[in-house]
Amino acid sequence: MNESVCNFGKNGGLFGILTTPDEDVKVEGAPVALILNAGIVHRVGPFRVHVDIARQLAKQGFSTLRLDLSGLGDSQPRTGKIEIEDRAVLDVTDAMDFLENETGASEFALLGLCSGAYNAHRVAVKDERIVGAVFMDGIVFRTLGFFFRSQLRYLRPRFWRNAIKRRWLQDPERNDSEDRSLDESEFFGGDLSKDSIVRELKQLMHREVQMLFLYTDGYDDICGRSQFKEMYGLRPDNGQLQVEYYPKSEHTFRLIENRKAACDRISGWFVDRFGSNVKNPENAIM
Amino acid sequence: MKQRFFGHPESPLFGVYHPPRGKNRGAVRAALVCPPIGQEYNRTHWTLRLMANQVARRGVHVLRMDYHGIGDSAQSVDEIDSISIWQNDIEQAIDHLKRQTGAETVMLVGQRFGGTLAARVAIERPDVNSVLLWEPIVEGESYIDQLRKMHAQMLDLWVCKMATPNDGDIEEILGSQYRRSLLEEIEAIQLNVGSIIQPQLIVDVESANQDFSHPGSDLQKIILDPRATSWTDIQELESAFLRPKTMRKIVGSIDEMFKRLERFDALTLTGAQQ
Repeated sequence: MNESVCNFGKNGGLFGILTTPDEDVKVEGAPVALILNAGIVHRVGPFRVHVDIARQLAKQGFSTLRLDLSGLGDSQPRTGKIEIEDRAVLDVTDAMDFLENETGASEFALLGLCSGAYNAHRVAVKDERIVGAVFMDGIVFRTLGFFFRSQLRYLRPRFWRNAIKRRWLQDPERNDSEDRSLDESEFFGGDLSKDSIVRELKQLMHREVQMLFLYTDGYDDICGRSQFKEMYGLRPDNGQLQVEYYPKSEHTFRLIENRKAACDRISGWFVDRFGSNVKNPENAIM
Repeated sequence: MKQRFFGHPESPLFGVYHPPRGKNRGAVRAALVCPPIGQEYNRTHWTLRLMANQVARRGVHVLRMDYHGIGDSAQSVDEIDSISIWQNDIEQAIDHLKRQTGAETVMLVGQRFGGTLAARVAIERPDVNSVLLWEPIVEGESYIDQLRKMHAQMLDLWVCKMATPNDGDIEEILGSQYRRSLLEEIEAIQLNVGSIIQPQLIVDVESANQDFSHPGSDLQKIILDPRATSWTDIQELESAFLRPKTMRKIVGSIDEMFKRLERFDALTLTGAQQ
């Protein structure tokens, strides 16, 4: 495995770390994974999860670029009047152009947690070079099933115990509503429509983009794996559209056990979906 | 900014170099930024980047580094069995910075455990011209106790009953697995800034009331931050550490420190040894 610095975009102001596998395990013709920032955390990811994913993928033979979007981590800001979502699309496009020129890669798979998943969705819809995507706690919509299942939480004594303890731990001098309350609109565009997301997902399905959706119990707006079908009307399978729900995991994979499970699932998915990528079968060594 | 890997190619360290801007006609000024460890590393990344940028505007070559097992450097933290590895990392980064810039001496800027490591390295290295310690860990045992307490609180508030599997060699604390030998070394630390002979800037929270007494009072300046820090608050575990006002004061103080060092010809190795 090797890790190297990549500078790309206008004046090389954007930055990422490319992790490449050893030649003897390298999967030829496989897409390069690009991991996008989760919120404002720099490219290492919360609790270093992006580094863990990239290094595990390298062991399986895949290359990964962990990048900082413009203005985040150690990338320079993009000047000019650009909407924040468009900025992400432009940045990732610059990264793919760079990798195409430097490494000859022509296909890519995006990985993103939270806002990273939202940005991955937007890029995947716009760029046909994307052949795979892993959305971790990405775009969700509350459903009737969500409301029903989340009510069941109230029947658990631990729910009330934790709520009281959290309240007790809270600093009374801190303005909770201003400082700490977060909702999805802070990370995702406020004008998201379920219909348009469904339309875009179907478009990705039609393009044969391979997709893995990972959700955690720590993510407020989802409760149970079945919510995926309720949201999008799409039935997950073991093929192009895979969905995993971690009922004991926190949103940012704080525990090693949860992080390892997610890394294993992602690297297993890569092997399953792209492990035998051979672009020119006639050139393949039999 | 120029990002780079340096050190041994089999196990490289990662750093971000901020070239100097602005006018500085004197001796070469260089500073190495030593970040905290664990989750505090992530929380402080943005503030240290901003600080490094501002210090570079005062004509200083600045290098921010990641230790082995942290950030973008090689290895994972569960492979680190002694703090001497991280101290060696700092020493490698000092040598790298000197080689790249022509600086004869370097200022160490360390935050939290990075401050503690920087102080220990400064004692050993005559080419460290000064140190800035930003809320350094003074008592290793209470630091680890606080981290363990937060970890227990985090598990206690989990959606279901949860434990992290530890064994004789490894202990999981707030998302990282540490070797017990490393934790024992950290626990044994008692930082005594009085043993650092170089000029020192210390930044601490006003309410902490920590003793940083030093026999040479003219060698030390203490900046007190009136705002309490949330290092021990589990609900702030993933909040960015932002202190723009304190940071500006620190940047100004670093500039002042370099001017004083220049006046006393302490930026060159021969001057510093006199």
